[in-house]
Amino acid sequence: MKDIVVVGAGVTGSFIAKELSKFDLDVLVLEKKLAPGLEQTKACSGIIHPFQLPFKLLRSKLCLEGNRMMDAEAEELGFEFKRVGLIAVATNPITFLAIPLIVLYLKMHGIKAEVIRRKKLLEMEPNLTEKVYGGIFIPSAGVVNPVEMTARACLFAKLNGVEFIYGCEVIGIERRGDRFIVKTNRGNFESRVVINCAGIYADEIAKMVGYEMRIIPGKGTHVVFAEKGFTKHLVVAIPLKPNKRTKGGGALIGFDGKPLWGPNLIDVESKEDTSVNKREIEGIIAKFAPLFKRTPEEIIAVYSGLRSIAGSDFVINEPIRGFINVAGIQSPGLTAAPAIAKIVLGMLSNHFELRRKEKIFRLPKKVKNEIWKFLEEDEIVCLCNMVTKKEILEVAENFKCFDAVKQITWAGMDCEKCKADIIRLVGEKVLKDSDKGEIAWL
Amino acid sequence: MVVIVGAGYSGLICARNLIDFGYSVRLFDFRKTGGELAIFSKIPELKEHYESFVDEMKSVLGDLNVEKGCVISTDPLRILTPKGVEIVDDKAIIATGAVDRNPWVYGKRPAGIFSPETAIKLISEGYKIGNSFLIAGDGEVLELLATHLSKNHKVERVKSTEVYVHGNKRVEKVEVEGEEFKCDTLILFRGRKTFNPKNLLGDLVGNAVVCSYDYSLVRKNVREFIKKFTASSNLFSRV
Repeated sequence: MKDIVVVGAGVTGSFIAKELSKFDLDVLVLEKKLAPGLEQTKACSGIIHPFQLPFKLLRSKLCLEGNRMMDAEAEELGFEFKRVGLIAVATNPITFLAIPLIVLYLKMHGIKAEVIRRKKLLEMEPNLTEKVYGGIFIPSAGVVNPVEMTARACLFAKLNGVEFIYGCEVIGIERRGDRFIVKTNRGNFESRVVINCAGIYADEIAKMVGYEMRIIPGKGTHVVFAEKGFTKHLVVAIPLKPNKRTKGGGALIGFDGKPLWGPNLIDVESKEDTSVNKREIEGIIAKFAPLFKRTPEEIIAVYSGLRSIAGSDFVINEPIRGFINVAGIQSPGLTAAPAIAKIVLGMLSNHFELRRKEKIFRLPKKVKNEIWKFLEEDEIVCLCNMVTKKEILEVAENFKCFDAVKQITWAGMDCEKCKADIIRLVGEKVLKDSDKGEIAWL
Repeated sequence: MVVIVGAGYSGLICARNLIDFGYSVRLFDFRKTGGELAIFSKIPELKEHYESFVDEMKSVLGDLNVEKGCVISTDPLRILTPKGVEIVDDKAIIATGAVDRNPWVYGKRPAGIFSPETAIKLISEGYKIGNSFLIAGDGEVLELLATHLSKNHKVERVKSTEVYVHGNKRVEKVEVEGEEFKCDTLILFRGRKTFNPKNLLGDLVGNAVVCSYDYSLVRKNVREFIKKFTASSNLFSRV
């Protein structure tokens, strides 16, 4: 029997697993996909938000706390995290006049913010339109590769004894005395505690133990441009009136420096509706293009992801003893993940005597983007992002799927040059010889 | 000394001509010699089409020494080789070629969407990349690819690149200008661009300039480049 079964290895489940791995607990993580973070997590913006309004919400508190924790998490797990900073620009006299008030308000909540005059603003971001009035710089905003961050948490947890089963879908949960039987396509698992981190499917998992909630998928679409360095910071316009449901997206950047515009927010019916239509893309470009003198060069990707929205806040509760919901983790869930894990740990102290392990193993450090990687026994596959054959094979070994390799190593995410090589390398690693003919079906 | 980055058609032709002219040349490639033409020549329809260029490339090969190395910056010129990083004080000719623009689509992004470049590479290595195809975009190479694939598969052609893809795991259907195409694989050509991910500075030549599948344009560019280059020898010190 397991102590804890975590359902879902998105960023939330993975960070909980990572935290639990430091204690004497028998933990099992079940993930439907073939690798961590490949549903909601992979299609988020990858932004470590500086704050979330209104400040009274749980997700706001966890956002602030998660943001503060992120440097230590990046250090502990070895993922790339850059505090690139966010610039909120005033595009009209009204928002310009509001700047001192906003800065004061943020400072009252412990958020560093400084007023930036127009001239300085244009020096910081030369591509900004001359029509800006001024702005606010918030240095604590950052960027990560969300799937890398999630995968590193899983690898850390695995190294410290947490068991992961991928390709494992939960189809039922049965309460039996003081324990649960978690039924899956890969067999049944008995556990004292179940933690529901099933993202957009969390309502279906909750329903299995009789708890009614509703997750509404909120689709967010992004446009990725090729021109690295078009903006150096995350750029947003100060809204005239804050929208309660969304921060409104921005002219963001990915962790690799490519412009990433969006996301919008569209409520959709289906939990599989990650389709992008032309109007959305035109809408996003029309929304953010006026902030700049020109649009960045060349669209290279458009994608949508789903936020799991259960009302205005996160739903972290224990409706039935031993069944913990970590549901409705919408934006800023990525930022909040380490803080959510802390809360869950607190909730578990009601069930277990939490004893820290004597020895906690550390993941080997990654030497990233270093030119001396091109050694005799290795070779560069992706020149854009300097990813080597060894790195690709290592990830393919851990997570046997093409999407995970792409998302974690970032190989082939900029151009077409090495895609065939990656498909071949991963295919050889994960497919049996008999399947080789169907390699591109990955 | 002249460093030529890339040992595909343009790099090889440049190297041979400059050596014959009296330059001392070092030629680098971090992949196989022959660039994409070497890959094209593994598919019969493409092989026939590009034969004269492949032959021209082969004819200059002779005793040309292609070093395994990846030029990662110019100014200073740093070359990553299996033995470590080499820093040299030379100028570079950038013959890194072209790359297909990313085949992004509206709708879903399931498996089974390829640029012609990726499709050609996989096919040339004997992989089966799908059963039924829609090839979208404009260009002679797509017709060659269509001819090749239609020997064993269902292949349909459209010119428009504004496509809307349906399918969860794998492409199931593609909508183009109101028309629906049932297929499991989409080959989408949005044109080509310079492949120069390290933003190397120097003289760009060949497909890095013309960005095409039309090698007669590449040949023309390379010839003009060599003429201009050798005429203005003051750019580089002659040996």
